[in-house]
Amino acid sequence: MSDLLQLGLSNLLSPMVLSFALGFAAALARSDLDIPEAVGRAMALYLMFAIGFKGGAALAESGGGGKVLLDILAAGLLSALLPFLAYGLLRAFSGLRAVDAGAVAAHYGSISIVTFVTASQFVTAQALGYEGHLVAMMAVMETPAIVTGLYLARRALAKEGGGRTAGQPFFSKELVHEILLNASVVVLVGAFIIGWATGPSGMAKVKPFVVDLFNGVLCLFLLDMGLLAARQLRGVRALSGGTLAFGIYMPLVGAVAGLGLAWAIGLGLGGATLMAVLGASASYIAVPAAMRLALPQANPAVYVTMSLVITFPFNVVLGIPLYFAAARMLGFQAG
Amino acid sequence: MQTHQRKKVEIVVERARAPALVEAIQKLGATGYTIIPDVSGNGRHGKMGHNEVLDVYRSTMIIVLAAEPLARRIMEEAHRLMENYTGIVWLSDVEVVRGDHF
Repeated sequence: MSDLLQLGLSNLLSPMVLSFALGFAAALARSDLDIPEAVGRAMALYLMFAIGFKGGAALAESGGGGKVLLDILAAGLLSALLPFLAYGLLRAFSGLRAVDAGAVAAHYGSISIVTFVTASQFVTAQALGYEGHLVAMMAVMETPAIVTGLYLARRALAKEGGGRTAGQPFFSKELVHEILLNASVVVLVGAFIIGWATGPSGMAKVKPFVVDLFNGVLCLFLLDMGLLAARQLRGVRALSGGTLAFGIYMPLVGAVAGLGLAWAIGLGLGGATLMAVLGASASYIAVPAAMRLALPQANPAVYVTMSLVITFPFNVVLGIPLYFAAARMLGFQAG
Repeated sequence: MQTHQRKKVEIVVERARAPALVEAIQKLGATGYTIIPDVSGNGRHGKMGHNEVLDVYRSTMIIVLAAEPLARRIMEEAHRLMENYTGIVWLSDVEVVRGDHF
C-alpha cells in the first residue's frame, strides 16, 4: 500500500504532471499565458511522430510476424465493444439523452494519444520497455468506437423518429475522410511505418530528436493541455453527478478491460500498463471532430467536457500509476 | 461612380460545417465567396473561437455576394444545412462596382 502511495506521489511530482498543474492553475488564475495554436499543433505533431517512430523502431528490433496483426485486430475489437458497455452504464446511471450517451460512449471506446504518450514516459521512467506494436494498436483503436457510438446514437434517434436519419448514409464521404486521414492518424501511422522500415539504423539517425527531446516537449504540451482543460471547466456545472461520476469510473472499467486483453495476448508489465491506459483513456480531438460531422444532434459541451476536463486529468494524475500498480499486482512480468 | 445593387449573405458557422456550406454555395451557382477561417465571438452557445485547439469551439465566416434571388436561395440552403450546428446567417444590401462579377 505504501508502495502504491509512493508511486502515485512520484507521478504527481513528475515534471509532466507538475507542468499540467501549472497550466491548469494559470488558466484558473486568469493568467494571460497562452501557447500559440501553431506551436501547440507543432508539439502535438512532434509527439505523434516521436511515439510512432519509437514504436515502429521497437517493433523492427523485436520482430513479431502474424501475432502482431492478431494483437492489432484484438485491440480494434476492444475499441468496438467498449462503447456498448459505456452506453449501457450511461443509460442506466447518468440520465443523459440516448444521443448524447451514444456520442460519449464513442469517446470512451476510442483513445487519447496524449494520455498514451504520458503513460509511455511513466513506463520508461520505471525502467520498463513495452511492445512496439502497441502504437499500432492505439492507432487502430481510434476508429471502431466511433462506428459503434454512431450506431447506438442513430438507433436511438430512429426510435424517437427525429433526426432525419433515414435518407442519410451511415458514413458520409467527409466522415470517412476525417476518420482515416486526420492529421494524427497520418503522422502516427506514417512515423510508425518509417520507424519500422528503417529500424535501429534509422533510430540512430534521429534519436536526439525523437528520444532526447521527448520529455521536455511533453512537459510543455501538457502545460498547454492544462490551460485547455481549465478553460473548459465551466462546462462541468451543466453535467449531472451521475455523468461526472462516469468520467471517473469508466476509465477504471476500461482499464480492467485493457488488462484483460493484455493478459489474453501476453503483454509484459510495461505493455499491460499501456494497454490499460488505452482502455481507460477517452478521445477529445478525433472523436469530437467526427461527432460534429456525423452526429450534430449530440451536445459537444457534454462529451468534450467529460473526456477533456474529467477523464484526461484523472488518467494523467492518478490513473496511470494506478493501472501500473494493478498490472504489477496481477503478476505481469517485466520484459 | 456607377454602382450596382447586390445582396450580401454572411454566415458564421462552426468549423465542422463550413465545407458543406461552401459546397452548397458553389452548387447553387455563386460566382465566388470569401472565407475568414477563424472568427471569435459570443452568443447563444457561449464563447466561440479564442485561439481554441478544439475545432468544436471554433467558427468560420463565409461571405457571398450575389443578386437577390440567388442570395435568398443561398440563405435558405444555409439555414437548412445549419440545423443542429452553431451559427448565424444574415442578409444585407450592398453596392458593388463591377456588376458583371456577381
